[in-house]
Amino acid sequence: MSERRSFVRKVVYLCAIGLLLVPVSWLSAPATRSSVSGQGSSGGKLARLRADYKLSQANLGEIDPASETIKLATLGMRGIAANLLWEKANHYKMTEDWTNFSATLEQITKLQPNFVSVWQYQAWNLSYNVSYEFDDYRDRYYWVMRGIDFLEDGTRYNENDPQLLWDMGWFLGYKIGRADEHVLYRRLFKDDEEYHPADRPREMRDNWLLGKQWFRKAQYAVDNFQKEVEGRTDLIFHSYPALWQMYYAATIESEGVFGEVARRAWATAAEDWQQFGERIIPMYDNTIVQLGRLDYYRQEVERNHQQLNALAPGLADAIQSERRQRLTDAQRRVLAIPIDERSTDQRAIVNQLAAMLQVTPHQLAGRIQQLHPEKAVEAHRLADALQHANVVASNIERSRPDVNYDYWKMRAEFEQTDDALLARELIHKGSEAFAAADPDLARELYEQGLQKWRAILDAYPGIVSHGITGDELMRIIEQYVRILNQNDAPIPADFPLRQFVEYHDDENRIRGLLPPVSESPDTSTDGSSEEASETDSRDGSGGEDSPPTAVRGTPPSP
Amino acid sequence: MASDVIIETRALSKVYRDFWGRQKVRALKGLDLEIQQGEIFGLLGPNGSGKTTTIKLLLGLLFPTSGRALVFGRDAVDVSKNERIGYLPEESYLYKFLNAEETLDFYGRLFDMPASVRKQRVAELIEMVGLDWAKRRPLKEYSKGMTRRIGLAQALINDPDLIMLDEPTTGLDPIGTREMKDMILKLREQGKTVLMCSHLLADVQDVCDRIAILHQGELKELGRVDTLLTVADVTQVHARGLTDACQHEIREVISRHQGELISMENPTTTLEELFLSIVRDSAARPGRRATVASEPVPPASPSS
Amino acid sequence: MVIETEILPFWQWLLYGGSDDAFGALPWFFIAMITAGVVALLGGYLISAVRHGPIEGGDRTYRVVVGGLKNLLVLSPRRVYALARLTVQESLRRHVLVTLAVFLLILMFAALFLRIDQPDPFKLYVSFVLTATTYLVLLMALFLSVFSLPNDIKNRTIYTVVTKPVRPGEIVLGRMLGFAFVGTAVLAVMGLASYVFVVREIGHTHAIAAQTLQDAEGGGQKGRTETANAHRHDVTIDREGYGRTDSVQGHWHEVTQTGSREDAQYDVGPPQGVFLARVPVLGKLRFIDRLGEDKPRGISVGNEWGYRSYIEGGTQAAAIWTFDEVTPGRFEDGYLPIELTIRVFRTHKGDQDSIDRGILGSIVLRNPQTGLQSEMQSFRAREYYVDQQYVSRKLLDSDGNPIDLFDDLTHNGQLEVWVQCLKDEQYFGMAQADCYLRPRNQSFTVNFFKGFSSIWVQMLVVVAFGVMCSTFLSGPVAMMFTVAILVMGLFKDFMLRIATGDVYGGGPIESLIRIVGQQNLMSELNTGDVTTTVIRTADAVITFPMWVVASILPDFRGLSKVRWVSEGFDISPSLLAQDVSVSLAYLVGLFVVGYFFLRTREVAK
Repeated sequence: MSERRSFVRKVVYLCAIGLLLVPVSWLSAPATRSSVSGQGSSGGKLARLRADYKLSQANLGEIDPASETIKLATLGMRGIAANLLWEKANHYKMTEDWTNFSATLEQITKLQPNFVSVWQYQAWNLSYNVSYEFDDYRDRYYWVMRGIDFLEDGTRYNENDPQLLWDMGWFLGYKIGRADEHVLYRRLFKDDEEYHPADRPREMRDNWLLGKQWFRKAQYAVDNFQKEVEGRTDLIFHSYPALWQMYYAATIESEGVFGEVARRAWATAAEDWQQFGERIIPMYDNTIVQLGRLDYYRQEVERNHQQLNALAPGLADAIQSERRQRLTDAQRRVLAIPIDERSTDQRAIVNQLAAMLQVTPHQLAGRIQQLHPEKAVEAHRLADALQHANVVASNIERSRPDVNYDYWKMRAEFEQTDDALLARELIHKGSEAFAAADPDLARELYEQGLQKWRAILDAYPGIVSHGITGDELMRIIEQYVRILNQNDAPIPADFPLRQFVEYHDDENRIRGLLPPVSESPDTSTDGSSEEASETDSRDGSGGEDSPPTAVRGTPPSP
Repeated sequence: MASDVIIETRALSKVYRDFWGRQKVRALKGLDLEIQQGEIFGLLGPNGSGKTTTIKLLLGLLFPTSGRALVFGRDAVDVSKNERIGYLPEESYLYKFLNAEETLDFYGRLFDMPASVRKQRVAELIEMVGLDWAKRRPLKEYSKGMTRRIGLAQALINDPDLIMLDEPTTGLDPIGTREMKDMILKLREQGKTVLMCSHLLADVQDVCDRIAILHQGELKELGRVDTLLTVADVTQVHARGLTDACQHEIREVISRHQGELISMENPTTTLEELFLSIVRDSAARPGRRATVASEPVPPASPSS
Repeated sequence: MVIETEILPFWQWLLYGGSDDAFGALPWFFIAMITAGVVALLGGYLISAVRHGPIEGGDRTYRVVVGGLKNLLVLSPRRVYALARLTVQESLRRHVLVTLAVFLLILMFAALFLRIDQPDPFKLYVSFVLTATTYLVLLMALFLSVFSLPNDIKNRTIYTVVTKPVRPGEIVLGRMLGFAFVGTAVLAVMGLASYVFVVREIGHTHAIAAQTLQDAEGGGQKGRTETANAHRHDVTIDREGYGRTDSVQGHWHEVTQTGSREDAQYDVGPPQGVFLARVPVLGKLRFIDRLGEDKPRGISVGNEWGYRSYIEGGTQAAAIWTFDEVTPGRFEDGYLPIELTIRVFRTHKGDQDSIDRGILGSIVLRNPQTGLQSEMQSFRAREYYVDQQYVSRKLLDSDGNPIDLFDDLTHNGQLEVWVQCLKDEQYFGMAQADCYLRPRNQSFTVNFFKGFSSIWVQMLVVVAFGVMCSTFLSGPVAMMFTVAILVMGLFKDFMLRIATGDVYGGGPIESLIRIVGQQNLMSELNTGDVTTTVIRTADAVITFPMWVVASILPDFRGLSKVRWVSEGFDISPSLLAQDVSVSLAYLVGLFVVGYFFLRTREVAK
């Protein structure tokens, strides 16, 4: 009897096991082959979720046996363990125990290697906060690199994570190349045999160029793995590879590399910037922007506008006058007030009315549909295209200043010219001569260099209106004045950049030292007129309610 | 037979409580016992009747809820009484990872025996229980019977005056059982007092001088085994090699007090019958001393 | 640093205590024991009285106490030995050696999670082996000790033991000693393995990269070593063929050149500056501010960790350490070894020309009585680096006259060390322990094993607690209980600070409400006045027992000496003796408690 019962029990157990296998396999069957190509099954629920959220280890990056072992050893409590370690790391950081701090970071990331913000946060901690705690610049450099190494480890565990890849580019470029200690850091970086693989050529051991490569990887990840850009706009994100190339070119010039090498660097920068301009970049509102194609989109607007109007000539005007008819007397009265005399409320009303009177392409297309149903499809297509081109064009106009598009385009262009290359070289040599206590030679080189700068400004007048180059030039001139002081000489009358200084010297460091205007026949005409306009505009902007355009629109005659 | 009292219990009661102190089981109710030196005393009862509880109380493994247990005139809780006690638990609870020698040596040390004495004693006991051939094997490899024997050996390590045996024959084969009984009898010959408890009636009947029968924590019967089992008005003749004529003659001889009498005694009921009748009686009238007993044994005062 | 204040001599600690303590350790121990005894007596009587009535209960309590005290010290060495031996055998049977195997495995695979390219691998490796050993041994001690007695009771093997003339005290003590022995043996093996591991991993030498050697100015050579242990050094060799490397990863090497230029052989010695056990003599630190006023502390530069305070450069601000007993007898070598660590806080990083150089500071020795000063020595501050100065006995004073260190600069053995920062707008940071005299070094090997002794001490405490708990609790419960003690012991300081109201966020209930309600620690509770008062009152009631418990708990963090060894400071014999005494005190106290628990419980069911 009991034997029979135990037999029955066993059968029941077996059945229960069998039944349980069904949900288990539904949940956790592994995917076979690639689920993308459609071959094989996509696996159970968990496997599919993993695939959907790109969580499976194979998608994420390198699988590290040590990390896996430690994860297993915590018996599913790695979150808690990581939390405790994080607390510990904070404590070590507070008590300045850097060895244990960085060792704890390693442990945390071994536990949770796919927690991207940990890599980001702690790499920042190492490169920026810990390195700052050290007084010796070599120690600081060591910790900067430690942060970079840490981040690079992160990219191995999390392949194709644009955030980490982008940070790599940023750290390499900015933390090394823009720190106060950048001269020393760059030198150490070039000589850093532990960081660079042995087969990396010396000219490639450059923080900007390597940073650019990482940005490229980040772009590649965004383009090919449907990864999202987080933490910054796509526009900014994609501008950096070209920007780093610019910084590279500028930096090697500051370190005394000129001629063809510098020209090629700037040429590459120009190409990169152009490439950036050609890139179709999504905006936050699901529209796009293509910085380099402003003209094209404007033409598109124009073309579509004409075509749309051609479908029903005069219709747009007709609609507008219809709407005017419908205005109330009060509204008409407000419109009749001259622009200058409108009160704030009245202006708001006018703006509202203007928007109401404006015939949008789609309104026009709608009317065409009513009047000429056979043209409806074409009309709506044109209206869509017009609308799209309009949006992109205004996006371009709005976005260009965000990345200083025009300036960098021009910068990369002018820096390639012989004048610019020579100007840079002369000034650099002049500084060297000055440092070597040869003020005469320094003065001569500087004056030659400043002449070249004058030529550049003539060819690219817009370049100094953007801060960067203008400030740079101001510093050059200040240095020049210092050299002159050393020689006990005043600023010569034929100082070629007088006009620039007058326009640009906001802090009035040099302006007061300039010789009187009348004695400079060469630049007198140009200079005085600019000066006048400048003074005018300044006064004008201070005046009551006079739009600056009015002044700009009437240049004073010579 | 000397009449020194070795064990004495006075209104010994034990109540088991649960974690919260609530009363769970009254395992023993007002037990009064006296055991004299040189006796083999049997505690008899069905499972859960309080036999083992009594022994544990006497050993100090449990503390009485009320009443007192005295061993050698000392309180059972007093550890020093253990010097003269040997105890064989129900199952031999020994350290399985030790071998026979180590086991005995360990318990010998617990009696603070010097090394030389210990060595000699260990050898003697192993010889006595017949485990010489297996003395180096760890106990986990021992059979039930071997474990029992080494258990007995550890109980005797200190040459005790009082030996308490809890179910000494359970799990033993008939030969083992016989040997155990012989051993017990031999111990009595050496003048030792033995207190054993068992639910195997045959064992008790064979070796015990006196028995106490417990049921549901109450003492039901107490007395000499022979007295308890005597049926007073019946005589039994036990003879061999009688011819028919002789048998006829015997009747005459018996009537005339002649002839060879091999045995002539009152027939006894079996202990089993006695036991069952007590249990039946107790179940019918709980809380009362059984009435089967023909003669109370001093100083048995009725239990409360 | 690890040593903040001077360590009291053992006997003073034991009998009188420091200047802040009312009693020495021993009087405290007796006070605690007597208090605990009285509390236990009252508690025991109350429970007994509830069960059996006031008179019967009193009788029972009396018997337990009198009988218990009478038997407490009846201990037969032979029985204790037998039980201890049994405990060891039982531990072996329970595969205690697996711990060793695990430890050796960890050492073998340590490279997976320990990187040698740390700024101070010595510190990392030493603290790693010590910490790993601590955890393993404490866990082992915990698991062994809490399950042994309950298992005996469950398997009823205890029946055959307690029916022998064995006193409960012997059972408790036998267990404690047995486990202590097992722990000691395991620790010894781990210690040896760790020592070999650390010495092998950290000890290294380099080859000189011959192609890097160049003639240096003023004779001699400069060059680099090959990479070993993930680092390399710059080497300077003087004309005599003796040289040294720069300091990388906290150590440097001596280099000797043999042979002439063409076929020169270079011998790089073992790492120096690691494997140390410094014996520091601490002074008292005070400050004067920029105007020359005395201040107990310097300026805060806004660090979260207020451990160090700062002095402003280019002003009168100075940090002054006063050392006692600076006598020729104590510094027999005739010079005064001063070790100084400075933190630098720059208000600006310096311009391109000075950014690559350390901030200039000065150090002066001064007689506290006469004000006589030695000639100013300047130095460039280097952070996280112990600057060693050997001040010779014959010195010049600030006017250039020859003076004697001990005769002229000390007053009653007192000597002042003045440190100033010379650069405007830059700051030096220091704490009391940042400057010390170091009359001698102790052997690292000895110190390493002293570090292991500190683990041994902790192991004893865990064993004592484990065995004590197992006398009245079942195995798993005893384990949790002991784990709780272990964890609370690790956070003893924190608990005490909660109990005394020194931490932000209030007592247990208040902090719970804050956590659940996600409230800031600093803001007032938003529960309303009445509720807040109720909460605060309840907390005040709770924190008293918390304070009591926390005060009794062993301070595992304090007992741990990992940082002493890993940061290269000698664990002074007095301190070790103090720790051993503490653990013995726990052993004795818990033995008594365990004895009474075991005595008053029924081992059978």
